[in-house]
Amino acid sequence: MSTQEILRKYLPQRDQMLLMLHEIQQHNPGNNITPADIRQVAEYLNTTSASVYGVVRYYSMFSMAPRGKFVIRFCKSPLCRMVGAFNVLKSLEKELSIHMGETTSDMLFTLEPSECLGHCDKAPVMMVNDQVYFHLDEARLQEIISQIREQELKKQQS
Amino acid sequence: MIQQTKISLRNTGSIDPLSIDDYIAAGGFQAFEKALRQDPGQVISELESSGLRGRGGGGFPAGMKVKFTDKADRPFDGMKYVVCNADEGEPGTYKDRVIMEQDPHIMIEGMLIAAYAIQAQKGYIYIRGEYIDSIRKVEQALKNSYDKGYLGKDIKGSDFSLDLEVRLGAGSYLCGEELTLLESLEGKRGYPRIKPPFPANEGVFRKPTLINNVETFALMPWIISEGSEAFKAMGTEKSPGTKIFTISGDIEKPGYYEVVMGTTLRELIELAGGMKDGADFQAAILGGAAGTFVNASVLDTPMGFDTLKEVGATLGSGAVMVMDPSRSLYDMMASILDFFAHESCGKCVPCRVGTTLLVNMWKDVRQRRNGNRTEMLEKMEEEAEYMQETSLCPLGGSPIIPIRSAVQYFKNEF
Repeated sequence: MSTQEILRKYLPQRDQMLLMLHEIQQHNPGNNITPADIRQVAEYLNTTSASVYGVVRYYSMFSMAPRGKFVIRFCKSPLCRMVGAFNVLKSLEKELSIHMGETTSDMLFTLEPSECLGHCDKAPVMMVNDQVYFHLDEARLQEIISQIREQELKKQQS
Repeated sequence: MIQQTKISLRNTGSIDPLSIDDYIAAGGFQAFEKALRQDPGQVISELESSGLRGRGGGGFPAGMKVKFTDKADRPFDGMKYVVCNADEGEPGTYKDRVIMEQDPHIMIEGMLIAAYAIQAQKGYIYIRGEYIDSIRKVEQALKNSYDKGYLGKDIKGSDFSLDLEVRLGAGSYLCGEELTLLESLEGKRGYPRIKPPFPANEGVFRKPTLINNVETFALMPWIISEGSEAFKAMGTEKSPGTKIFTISGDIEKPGYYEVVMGTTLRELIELAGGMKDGADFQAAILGGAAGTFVNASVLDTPMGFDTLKEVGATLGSGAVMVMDPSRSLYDMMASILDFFAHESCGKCVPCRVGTTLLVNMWKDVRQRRNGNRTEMLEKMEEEAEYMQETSLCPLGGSPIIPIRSAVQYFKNEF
C-alpha cells in the first residue's frame, strides 16, 4: 500500500497523525518513515513538514533510519536489569554482531532499547516486532534468533 | 493467609476476553443499564460517595473529577469527552495490560458509565503502542460493543449516544501523564501543558474532558451495581476498595494480585508465594520508578495512598519490585535515574539538565567508598527538589521520590 493510499483511510485531521505514522512505518520495507512520507503527511493534514518531523522524532517507536525486517525492542527497565538483562543483552549483541541501536548488515534485525514493556513477572523480556519473548537467557536468545533466521532462509529459497 | 478480592479482575481467566456474550453472561453491562435508568446526577453522587481514587498513581478522588467535568460549561459545540489512559509505562506496572487483555469490555462499561454521568458524546482509549495484544483486544471489544448496541447512537433505546475510538501512543513514558497524553492524542509531540486549566475544564481539543486510568474505569461498574457503601466497606478509610498490585522480583510467584486496600506488603509477598528460595527481604520499590525504596520496617504498614505517605512511601500505580539481599541498591537506583534521564522530554531545562546531572552524581556517590557520601546524597536531594519545584509536569518532580526514600530507609547502606 502506498503512503497516499494509507493517508486516504484517515480523516485529514491532526489527531489522526500518530495512527497514520504507525501504519506508514509498518508498510515501508525499511520499517521507517521517510522524508517523502513526512511531506505527504504534512500536505494531507495541511500543516508544515517541520511539525510532522517534530512528531516523528519525538516518539521512540518511530524511526527515520531504515531498520531491519525484525525490530527487537529490548527492555532495559529497572526490574529487567535487576534480573540480568544486561548480560543477556551482551550475548544478543554478540549473536547479532551489532550494538544497541544498530542494524545487521543483512537488514534482518535492528536492536533497540525499550523502557518497561510491562511483563516484569517474566523478566527479562524483549519484543521482536509484535511478539513478546519472556524469561530470556543466552540459550533462549540463540533459539529465538536462529529460528527467525531459518524461517527467513526458507522463505527466500521457496 | 489473605485472599484476593477480585472486582476489576473478576472475570479474568473465566471468560473469553473477545466474547461480549461471555461478558454479558457474567453480568456485564448490567451496571451501565442500571445507570442508564438513573439520573446522571445520581450516578455522579454514587461515584463520589464511593471514595474511589485514581488508580493510575495519583490517587486523586475519581468522583470529584467526574463532578468537575460535569460542572464545566459545555462549549458551543456541546462536546464533552471521556478519555481512558491506557498508556501504562510506569516500570514494574502491568495491571492495565491484564485488564485489557483479559476483560476489555469491563473498561468499556466503566467508560460508558462515566460518559453517561457527564453526558459526554465522544471518547478515546489511548493505548501505548507497544501493547499490541491490548490494542487488538480493545479494538475487537469496541466492535463487539457497537454490534450489540452498547456504543453508537441512542444506546439501548435511550437518548444517550457515545462513540469510542482507540488511539495509539508511540513510545513515550511522559504521555502517561494526563495533560501530556491529551497533547499526544491531538497528534502533537508529548510535551506537558501548563496546569491549570485542568482537563475537566480544558482537556482534549480544549474541551471538558474526564480522563481516568484503565483500572479506575474498570472499578466503576461494580460500584454502580453494588453501591458505594459496599465499596467503602473494603479497604482503608481514605483508600477504599481494591487495588491490583503487580509484584515482581525475588518472589516465588510474581504476577498480578487484586486485594483490598490496606493489605500489607508482608501479606502481599506471602500471597505471591513468599520470598524466592526462602531468601531474606532486603528492600522493595513501591509504585514504580517514580516510587519509593522501603526496607523491612514497612512490611506491616497497611498499603493505601495515605498510610504509605505517612511513612514516606508511595502506593503509586501498585508496582512492587522486591529485592533480596543479593541485589544491589546502587544498581537499582542507577537504572531508575537512567530511566528519568532517557524519558525527560527536554521542555523544562531543570528536568532536562537535572535528570542527567543526577545520573552522574549517583556515579560519584558510588565511587566514594567512605566519608562524604552522605553529603553527596544531600546534594542530590537538593537538586531533585529544585527540579520538582521548577518543572511543569510530574516527571521533573519524580526523581526526588526514590532519592528521598533511599536516604530515609537506606542511608547507612550507601
